[in-house]
Amino acid sequence: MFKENFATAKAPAPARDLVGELEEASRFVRRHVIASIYHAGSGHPGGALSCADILACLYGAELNLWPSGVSDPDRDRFVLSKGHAAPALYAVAAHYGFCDRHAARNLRKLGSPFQGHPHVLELPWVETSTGSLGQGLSVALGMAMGLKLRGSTARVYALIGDGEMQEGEVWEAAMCAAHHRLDNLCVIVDYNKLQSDNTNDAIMHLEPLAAKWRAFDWAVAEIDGHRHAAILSALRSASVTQGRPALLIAHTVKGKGVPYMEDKPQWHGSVKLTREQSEDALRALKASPDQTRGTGRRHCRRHRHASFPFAPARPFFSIRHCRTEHDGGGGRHGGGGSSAGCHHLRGVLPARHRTGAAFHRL
Amino acid sequence: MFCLRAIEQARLSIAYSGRNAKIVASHPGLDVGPDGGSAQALEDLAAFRAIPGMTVISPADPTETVAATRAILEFKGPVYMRTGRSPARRVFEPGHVFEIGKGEIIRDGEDLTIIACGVEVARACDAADMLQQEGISARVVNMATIKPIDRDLIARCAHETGAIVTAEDHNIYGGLGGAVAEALAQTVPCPVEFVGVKDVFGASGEPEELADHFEISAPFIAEAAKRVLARKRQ
Repeated sequence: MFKENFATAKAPAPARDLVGELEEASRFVRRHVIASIYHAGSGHPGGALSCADILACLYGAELNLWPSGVSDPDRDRFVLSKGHAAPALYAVAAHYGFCDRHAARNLRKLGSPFQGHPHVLELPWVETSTGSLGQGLSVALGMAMGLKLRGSTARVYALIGDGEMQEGEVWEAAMCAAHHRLDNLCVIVDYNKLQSDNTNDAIMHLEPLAAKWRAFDWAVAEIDGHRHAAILSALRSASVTQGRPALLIAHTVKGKGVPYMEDKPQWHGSVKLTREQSEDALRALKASPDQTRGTGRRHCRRHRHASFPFAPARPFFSIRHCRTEHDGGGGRHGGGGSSAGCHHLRGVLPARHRTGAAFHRL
Repeated sequence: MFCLRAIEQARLSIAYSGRNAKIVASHPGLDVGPDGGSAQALEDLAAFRAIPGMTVISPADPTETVAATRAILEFKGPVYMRTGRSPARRVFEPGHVFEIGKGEIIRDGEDLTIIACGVEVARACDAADMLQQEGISARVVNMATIKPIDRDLIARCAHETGAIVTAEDHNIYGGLGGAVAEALAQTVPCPVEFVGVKDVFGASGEPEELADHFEISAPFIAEAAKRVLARKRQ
């Protein structure tokens, strides 16, 4: 459901097994979110669950960012502007080998690097500290401008909340990004329609949201934020859009995956999960020992695109980020599994990271 | 907790414009707890105190918060009031009288005075109990109005007890401690020790845990009292 001013490149459907892997990653993220908030005794489950699929797609198949290259000046940047979704960020990072799985036990604890909101000085793969809403997009904007000035082809991604758009700073950044034609910037809105106290509509309505961003001269697409294939296609289109920053309005359900939390603002947080509530949630997420392992295999945007049957619309190949040999460019790196070129983590990380972080049983 | 975002608006559109507006900000300091440093405003008293004409208030408990709310509504002029987040221990009985600009001796003593505001008032009382067991008599002052500060009371306490400890859930710079030291420098100079967050940002943890970690809990107030007594005797 791309709108008229979005990139014209038609995105082919991603490989089925890639989607399967991302679905598994999302399940892992959701289980990790519940477990870590249970152990912490407080946290924001609703907004963390609603963006789990988006984060899985970004980290699993879009970002050109590797655990061994978090200081690479040409890495892709990701900014979690809605910092209260930190448990989901920590979970996806654990799944893909950026941190170990102890995040689940240490969230929000005194002395832990897994602060209640992401802190750039605590974790090397966090790009900027967030938690005071409205600021992340401005920081991402600065990163995108800096990369352009340096002539880097790296991209910047920011995930913002819907309630967050009530902050004026978001719109100042929106105007600035369009003015500077930052087509290396992609913003995803986790549009779950709820905020801390009530619905967006009751607090301060956002609609017509797509029209507002279009009026700010952004390329805008609306997608189902829980369908991995749709998210991947939209990210692909965003990456080939030229002359404009891209906004993906991802329609999501707050508390997605846990029936008693879905669409209920009281699970925004900060809430304490009882053992019973946590177990109910985990049952709903079908947590069982044999389902708690993800593959943890990552595919960067460039390789995923290389697997598409159509020629990429922008130069996609830069092997300096890749840790393994490519078979002459003709290999199918995004297909998932068959090519050695995709196993970027092999030989870089300890084995437990390669298979993703196993879920901590309660 | 994010009230500092509006500091420029508070300055120009409220104080500079002479508006009779009241700002009430909750979730201050380490009291915020596990949300972490990004949400813990430890600079607000200092920032708002620096705005000309701004009255700054930090009540100690629910009773005083109710009384202070009534008082600021009747008061003409811009006010910044910092309330709490986690359940606060009651210090005052219902019927407590609150007057803007007046500190109050809530426990008398002779050897030194602990001047506190906000959640630190209850901790200061605990510290006074600890000190009493060691034979030290500590006076406790609830200084709910940080600006304009009650200079007369501060000077009187300095004169009568000869040593001061300040305690606040705030950076040691620019808040209650700064205001008390400024008043003492111009009235009755005496040894002062500051209990507060030592010019660092907060972190995730439970409020009581954080109070111990950042050394603003009762035992640290008692320790500061002993330090200031030693300086007084020199």
